[in-house]
Amino acid sequence: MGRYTLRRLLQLIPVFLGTTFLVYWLVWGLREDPFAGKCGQRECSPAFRAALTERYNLDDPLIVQYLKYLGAVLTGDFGQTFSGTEVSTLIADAYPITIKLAIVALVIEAVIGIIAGVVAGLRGRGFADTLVLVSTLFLIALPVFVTGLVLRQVLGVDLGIIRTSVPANPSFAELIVPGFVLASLSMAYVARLTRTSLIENTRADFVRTAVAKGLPRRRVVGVHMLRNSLIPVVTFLGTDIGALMGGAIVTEGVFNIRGIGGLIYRGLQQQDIATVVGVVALLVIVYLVANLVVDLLYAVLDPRIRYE
Amino acid sequence: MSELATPPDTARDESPAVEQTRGLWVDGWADLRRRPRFWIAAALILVLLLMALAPSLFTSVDPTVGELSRSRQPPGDGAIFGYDLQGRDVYARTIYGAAPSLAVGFLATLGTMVIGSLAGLLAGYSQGWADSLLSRIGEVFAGLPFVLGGIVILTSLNEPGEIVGAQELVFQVVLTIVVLTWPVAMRIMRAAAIETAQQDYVKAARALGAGPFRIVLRHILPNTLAPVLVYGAIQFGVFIGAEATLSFLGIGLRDPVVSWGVMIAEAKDRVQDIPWALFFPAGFLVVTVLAFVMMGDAVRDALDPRGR
Amino acid sequence: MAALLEVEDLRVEFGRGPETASVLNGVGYHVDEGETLAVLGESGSGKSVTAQTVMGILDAPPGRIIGGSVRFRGEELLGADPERRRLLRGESMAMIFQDALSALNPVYTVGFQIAEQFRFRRGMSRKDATARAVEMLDQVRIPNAKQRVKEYPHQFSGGMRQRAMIAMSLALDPELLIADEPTTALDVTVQAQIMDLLDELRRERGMGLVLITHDLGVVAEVADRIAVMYAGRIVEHTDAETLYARPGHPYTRGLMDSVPRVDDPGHAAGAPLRPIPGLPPSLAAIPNGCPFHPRCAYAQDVCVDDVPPLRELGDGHQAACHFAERFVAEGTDRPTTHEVVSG
Repeated sequence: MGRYTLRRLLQLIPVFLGTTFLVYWLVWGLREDPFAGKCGQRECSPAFRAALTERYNLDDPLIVQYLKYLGAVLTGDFGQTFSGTEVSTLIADAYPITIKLAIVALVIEAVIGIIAGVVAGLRGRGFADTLVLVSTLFLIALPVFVTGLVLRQVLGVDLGIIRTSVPANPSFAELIVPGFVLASLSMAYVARLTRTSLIENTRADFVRTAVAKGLPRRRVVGVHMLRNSLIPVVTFLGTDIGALMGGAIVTEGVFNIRGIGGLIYRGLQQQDIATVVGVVALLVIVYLVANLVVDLLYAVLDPRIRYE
Repeated sequence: MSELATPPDTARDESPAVEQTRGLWVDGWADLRRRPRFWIAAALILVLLLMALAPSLFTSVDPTVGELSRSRQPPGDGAIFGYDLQGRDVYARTIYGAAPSLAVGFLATLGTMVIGSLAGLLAGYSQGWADSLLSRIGEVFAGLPFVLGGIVILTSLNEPGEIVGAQELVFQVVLTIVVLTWPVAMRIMRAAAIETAQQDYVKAARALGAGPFRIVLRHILPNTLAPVLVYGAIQFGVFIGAEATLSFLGIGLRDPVVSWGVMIAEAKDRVQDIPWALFFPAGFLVVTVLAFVMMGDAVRDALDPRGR
Repeated sequence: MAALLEVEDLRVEFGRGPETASVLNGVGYHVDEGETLAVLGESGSGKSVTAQTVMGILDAPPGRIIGGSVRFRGEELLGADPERRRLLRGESMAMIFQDALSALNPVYTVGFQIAEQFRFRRGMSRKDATARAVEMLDQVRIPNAKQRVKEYPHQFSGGMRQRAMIAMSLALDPELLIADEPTTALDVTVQAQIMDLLDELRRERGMGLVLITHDLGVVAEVADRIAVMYAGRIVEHTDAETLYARPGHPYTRGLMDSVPRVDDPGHAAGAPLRPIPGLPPSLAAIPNGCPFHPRCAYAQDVCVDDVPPLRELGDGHQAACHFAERFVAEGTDRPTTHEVVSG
């Protein structure tokens, strides 16, 4: 297990380098003039240009720029925005909100998704099963921004239950509706995955054995069927943590949440390249580590898997 | 327990690969025909295709002509979906919006499937350094969350304020989607190819001296097509939603292109005044995504009897 | 004394509509205390479905019991309270399955799965239950039981896994054990060990044993009586010796001809085996008359028209063939199916 973890960590390095370089190249390398539009309608002053060129090492070849930048990031220095704010300060301000939103979304998708999937899977064909299948179909078909706009309009404007714009330092309760919007797609997947997995296991030989042993039904379902069925569900949820932590650009936009997604979005609109690269580098690390944790978690949940 | 699983059929199934897959498709079609979901989805898709290919059958109004005197007129005589802020006919715009949305969906699905499948076949069949390389490259692209990656790519492709033609915009959006999603198709194809390559009939074919091209074409491809096709059918819908999301964020398609995402993006801040300008394109978008997801769902259930 | 288990005229169908498969068409047998009944037949003949119906673990749907009776010590089980049936499982009757790897839950240790019964049927503490699980593993001669109780099923070898399965089934001291092809998935050398173990445990505990198998060799050594099944019916029923010497049904005779036997001069080394021609019928379309007639070399018109009932031929020998007496009189030395077909 230890060696496997080490090997996977080593494998992450090229992926991390590849992804961050890809982003670096896209935002710095693809542009002919990184300062276009930076100084309003006018051309930027030579002094300003010189200062920024110096700050971002723009005279070096792209790969050297990237390596210099990477070196700084690894020592915790995410660089500065064009206007001179530390990117790490921006991240420190925005990330707690994103994490809060991610937790709310994760709890919602896990609880509702698993319950719906279990009900549908255990009851077999019938009303509950059809209801879950049809409603998950709709959730999968609804783009997140449509769900968000509709809920904001109905709950916020028409009924006045929630605020249309989430305050700067929101409580968990204020994030429930945005969290639900963010979670809706994954919730549908969780429900379907749970259902399918449960149905597959209902016919499994070991479930039959548990029944043949004369165990109470609750124990057969709760211990033998559910535990086995939830293995793929838990791995899915783990992977989703990585995605949720990556920020919810659309949801944060709709509900005006000042999280990491909004930070990137504004950074791109304002052409603040340093912010974008810094945040993306961080998110890629989070995403990759989350995936690694899921792999290890899988081995804990299923004793048949022993990574060597 | 084989007696329970297939009670009437005691004969061993030792038919060769090709027979099996043909059986799969024939059985799948027989199964599909019995599913109402399939027919509903097929009918919807047919209507949508007609809208995309021949919008003039549905309306004779030019969707781009706006008369400010009609601005914000609610649905009524002459315009059943009302007029938007610039006095353009929402119904005509919704009809004409089908073509770019479907075009993006189709091209992106095609691109993802072709690139992903080829890479997956190569990786799954060779399983050597090519596999490692392709898998790592795939991870680099999959390491970027979709919306985040989409924003980075699309903002980098165009200089700020640059005017881009309609066709080029569609091309850019398709390219973005394909670049960010082909690793998923590759993973599916790779897994199926590895599984098939381990089957005895493939080993037998190799032992009998069949060349790699023949093995891949005759033995592996037919057995790996089903999961990739199902993925493609569902993704068709998801990609249409993705286009709308990117357009909604203001970085995908935009005026003068008429697409549902563009309409929603334009209407989102004026939901109070002109709700119909948001409602109708969003409704069409949801129904379209739903139709394709439903189709993919039905096809998957038909080809993979395990789920039911 | 009432028999331990009596099955009578059991009928089970699978599926609905035109594809309905009649899996059991009036199966009946009985097992006494301390006795071994072997149920013999090809896959699809309904051996396992009968056992699952007895245990009350038939998957329904698609399975459907449409008639018959299952009595345990005289108590009718079909239609009995499900809770009562659950309490009988494990305690009075237990079952072991063919593939122990898939029959054991992969994510729990072997010890956990044995101890579970002591905990939830006997109310023991986790610690006491685990101690009992170790004892059970000892009883089925798993070496180093104290350690192995903490291991997962996939860490056991095939034979050890089946031993663990047996230990689990015997945990609550059942009076009847149903073994569904317990050795089919194992190596030949291990097969004999497992059969010996089962036989020994049966004798020690005075259990009734229903041994489901398609392997004639296994049956010969341990079975007191043998029931041969074909297409959801019992076609022959007698003690092992009679069955080998004077089978009353051409299907039974065909089964014996299709396996090599060292003790039989007619099957000397190098002599060809004689498989039964054709395939078992589809259970959705069982032929009229005797279900075996399309494959039977001796079939007459009467076999096409009339279903032969299971008839008493004397000394408890029963067979469902119109010409059973003739076959019994001929014994196994007479012309076999193959010679009749070719000559």
